[in-house]
Amino acid sequence: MNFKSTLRIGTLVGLLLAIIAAGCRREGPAPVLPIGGDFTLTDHNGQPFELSSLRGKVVLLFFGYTYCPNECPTTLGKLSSVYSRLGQSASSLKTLYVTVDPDRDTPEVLKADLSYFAIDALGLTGTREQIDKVVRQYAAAYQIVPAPESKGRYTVAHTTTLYALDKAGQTRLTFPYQATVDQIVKGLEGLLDEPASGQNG
Amino acid sequence: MACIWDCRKRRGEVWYAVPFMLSRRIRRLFRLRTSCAGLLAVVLTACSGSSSIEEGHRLYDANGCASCHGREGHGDGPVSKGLATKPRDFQNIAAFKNGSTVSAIAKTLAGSFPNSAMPAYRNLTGNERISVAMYVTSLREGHAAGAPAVTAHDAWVRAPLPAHNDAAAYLVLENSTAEARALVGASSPIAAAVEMHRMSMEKGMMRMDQVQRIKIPAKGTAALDPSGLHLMIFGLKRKLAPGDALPLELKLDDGDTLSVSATVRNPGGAS
Repeated sequence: MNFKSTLRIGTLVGLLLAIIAAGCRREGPAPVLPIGGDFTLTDHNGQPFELSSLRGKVVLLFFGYTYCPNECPTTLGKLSSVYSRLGQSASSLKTLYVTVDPDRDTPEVLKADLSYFAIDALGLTGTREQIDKVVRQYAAAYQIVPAPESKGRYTVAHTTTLYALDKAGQTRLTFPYQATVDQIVKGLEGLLDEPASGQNG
Repeated sequence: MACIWDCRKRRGEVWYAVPFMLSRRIRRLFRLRTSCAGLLAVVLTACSGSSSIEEGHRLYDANGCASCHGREGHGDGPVSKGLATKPRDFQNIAAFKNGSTVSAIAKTLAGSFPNSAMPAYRNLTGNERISVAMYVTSLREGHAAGAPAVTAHDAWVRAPLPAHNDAAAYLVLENSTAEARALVGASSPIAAAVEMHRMSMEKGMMRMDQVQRIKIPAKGTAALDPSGLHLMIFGLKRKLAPGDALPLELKLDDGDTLSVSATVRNPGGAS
């Protein structure tokens, strides 16, 4: 066995050990993601809304529209299960539903539809410019798709990511549309356990 | 039922008198049975506000439809022999003068028929007429030469959210033939329009597109579920609550129609 091959084996063993060590390390707090930030919109009661007013609460945020027949009700249904699973600690959790269809989703429509679900949710709307700004902040996207032959006239294609913000308003976790209630609950428990002063890092 | 016979007799239609006399005892028995069943119908209807094939079956029996149209819907009921205008055989779609869809039949049931013994079923509510029409259509499909080629099952619909009168519906289409078939349209007597839509993920965005046909492979199934294809129900004429039923009529590429009753479920449900 020459020096070269010993070195090669040594590197391999070292790498393997490093991987094992990384796997065994206790999972640390989720890092702060470079997306998101404060914004101003109008809530479903017609009142101005500032994200900064929710400091001290964990926030779930997603984009959608109420004429969406499928994924928006599915997400809201899933969040109902998340709230009931969290029990008492859900009192520090606020859900924000930002519409990407402000023409049809008036505050009244948002309020009526959200009232159906047993979650502490606020529907948010605003001018197209205000909404577009929030969409950009969160690296989300949407697109109005005309449907001339449909009774619905148009649909809105949109990203379905669910964002979890910590008590300091920083974006910490994102969940894909397929995320299960378990995964969301687990992620939120970590954020809910953090002190209200926030986590910086 | 008894009323038609009496009215007919008063109009002096001789051809009626004979079966009328012969069937007097049967008639009396009938009247008793229908009134009991009718009472039951009223009670049951008061408790349920939706339409279904099962409800239609019950109403079909309770209103004496089988006495003329027959239990199996072949137009060969016990009193059919005495009628000048033969009762409709539900297999014979071409003979349905006012249309053979669920909505057309439901509408027909409310009308009157000057040249036949068919009464106007104005005693039934709109929902009940839809139920009877669904049952009539199901009788037709159940008989179609051996086994029905395409069947629809496990149909459900999300209850619309409070500010909406539209909803998404899902079902499974099963094709037992050796040829591919397609769903080319759908309607509901209680909705302004039913469209076929597909949800898909494109460039990271979830989008909806209207489609004109949904292929049902030979000896296979087409699933309409929350992950893709679905029916979009627009302009519902009444509120739907979990537990209700939404009558749907599906149109296939070969001209066949299928009736299916979709169970209304919680809007947040995923399956």
